[in-house]
Amino acid sequence: MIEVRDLVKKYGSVVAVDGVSFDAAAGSIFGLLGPNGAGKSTTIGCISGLLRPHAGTVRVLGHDIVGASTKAKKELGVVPQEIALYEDLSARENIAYWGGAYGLSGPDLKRRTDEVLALVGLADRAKEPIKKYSGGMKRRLNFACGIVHEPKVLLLDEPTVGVDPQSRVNILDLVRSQAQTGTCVLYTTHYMEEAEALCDSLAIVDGGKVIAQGTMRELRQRTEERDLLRLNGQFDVPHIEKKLHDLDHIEIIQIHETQITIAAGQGGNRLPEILGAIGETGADIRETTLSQPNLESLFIKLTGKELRE
Amino acid sequence: MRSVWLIFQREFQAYWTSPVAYVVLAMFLILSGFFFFGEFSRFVDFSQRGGSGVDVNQMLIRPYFYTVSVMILFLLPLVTMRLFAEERRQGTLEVLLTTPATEFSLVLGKFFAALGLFAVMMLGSVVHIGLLFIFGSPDLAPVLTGFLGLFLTGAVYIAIGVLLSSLTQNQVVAAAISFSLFLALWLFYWIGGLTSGSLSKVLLYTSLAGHFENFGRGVLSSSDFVFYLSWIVAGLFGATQVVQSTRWKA
Ligand SMILES: Nc1ncnc2c1ncn2[C@@H]1O[C@H](COP(=O)(O)OP(=O)(O)O)[C@@H](O)[C@H]1O
Ligand SMILES: [Mg+2]
Repeated sequence: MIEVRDLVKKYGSVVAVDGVSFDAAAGSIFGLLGPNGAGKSTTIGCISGLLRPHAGTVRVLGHDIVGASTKAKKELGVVPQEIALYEDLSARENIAYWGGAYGLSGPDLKRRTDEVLALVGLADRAKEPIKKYSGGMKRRLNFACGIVHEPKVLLLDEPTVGVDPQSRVNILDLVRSQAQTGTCVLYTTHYMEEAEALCDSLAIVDGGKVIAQGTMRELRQRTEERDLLRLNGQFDVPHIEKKLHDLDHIEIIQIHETQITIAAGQGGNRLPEILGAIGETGADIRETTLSQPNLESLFIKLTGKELRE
Repeated sequence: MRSVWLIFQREFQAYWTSPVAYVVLAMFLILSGFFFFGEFSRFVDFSQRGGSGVDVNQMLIRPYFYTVSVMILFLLPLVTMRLFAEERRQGTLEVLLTTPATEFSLVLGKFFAALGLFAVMMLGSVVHIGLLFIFGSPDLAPVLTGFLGLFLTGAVYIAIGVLLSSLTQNQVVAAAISFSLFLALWLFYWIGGLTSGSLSKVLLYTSLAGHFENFGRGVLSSSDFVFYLSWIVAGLFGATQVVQSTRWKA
């Protein structure tokens, strides 16, 4: 339903999106996972018709977003990363306004406004001016405004950033139920857990490029069976590199004077061996973390850095 | 064009849920009322003392239109300042640009909303001038052309105000620039009168004041119309371009 091909978008000399391609299907959740500045919002901006791409094409239900923008835009619902609401209006008025902008009116608009107010749990406070709303309530309202017109394609740009746990659960449930009713959902996030819990398929992005892409199962397979061991402290880099080189089935993913990341099969059992080798170099280990293979370890493996910085 | 109506409704209502409409209306009614009734009593005084050949159009109505046209120069920037600046500040402009609504329909909807509030302001002037028809019998034609001129002047200020509001996300900046520019456009008339040669011609032509004077005298000419309409079209076209350019940088 969304077809992105070789998308490029620059801001001056900064290439924010650098040849991104993917397809997102109806009734499923496609994730864009990547750290801040990876180009997720810019990609969403190009798909939604807000930004003009410098190269590449975007099709929404077959309509080109540049050539047939009105047709494409009618099918889209957009929930922006920054809350975009009218502070002087109530929740109900905000929803009705955005519904109107997508061509709803009369009894249809009223019915849908009531429905989405109930969905996001704001029905009993719908008449209050939203100035008094908490951050989580505004997020939910922002979401409601994006789905009032029952779009076939829903673009969600980090819709859970900065919300309370309860609003977060509410929003994630809503995202799932949107996909279950046949909507094609594009979901961006920098939370690995969210992507794992929510998405059917995923593109991992960094520096404007897709560095891994596939169904959730395919990506999990690519993470291999190795555990990730991360050490913080004070290290003598060349010395440690030499020591670890002598151990079997160990890969140094990343090594600095203050942090080392190592991939190792059966990492738990080999902990004494690895720590022993490092300890012999006179290193000062302050913190060790052992993690199961997950998307985070795939990201670290591919980029040598952590997802959340 | 449904979206023009949607934006119009939203903006027109917003004037009345914020203090803007009330403040602007109150200032306009107080200032114009003060001027009108002052001049009115002076005029009544003059004619009662048997002033011969007194002409209400000449003595009262023309100065009134002229004064009101200066007042709106100060007041209309307050009406247009929020239109796009606030939309930018709230981040709603970017979302509006992802809806099927075109940039031009956004600009047009906002333009008409401000024009609507201006029309409400003008009702105060209709009452003032209407009083003169109850107590006397002024010439109707210069009154009608005067109102037309006033309305067109206001429409020019609003169109340019919409453009300037689209350039910033700060309402105060939008109002300050609008006001300075309108004042400059008005002052061109005097500067043009002081200088000579082609510069003078350009200044006189560009200025709003000179064209407005014709309307006040009851003279309708197509060149004045073209002049006002070009300013309006330029303002609205410029605003559309500015809003469109958001797509390149955002
Ligand atoms: N309006 C802008 N002007 C200039 N650079 C921008 C602008 N918006 C984003 N960028 C840059 O483009 C890159 C991608 O940003 P963005 O798409 O917002 O990433 P993400 O949403 O993944 O955090 C970043 O390097 C960012 O600094
Ligand atoms: Mg972003």
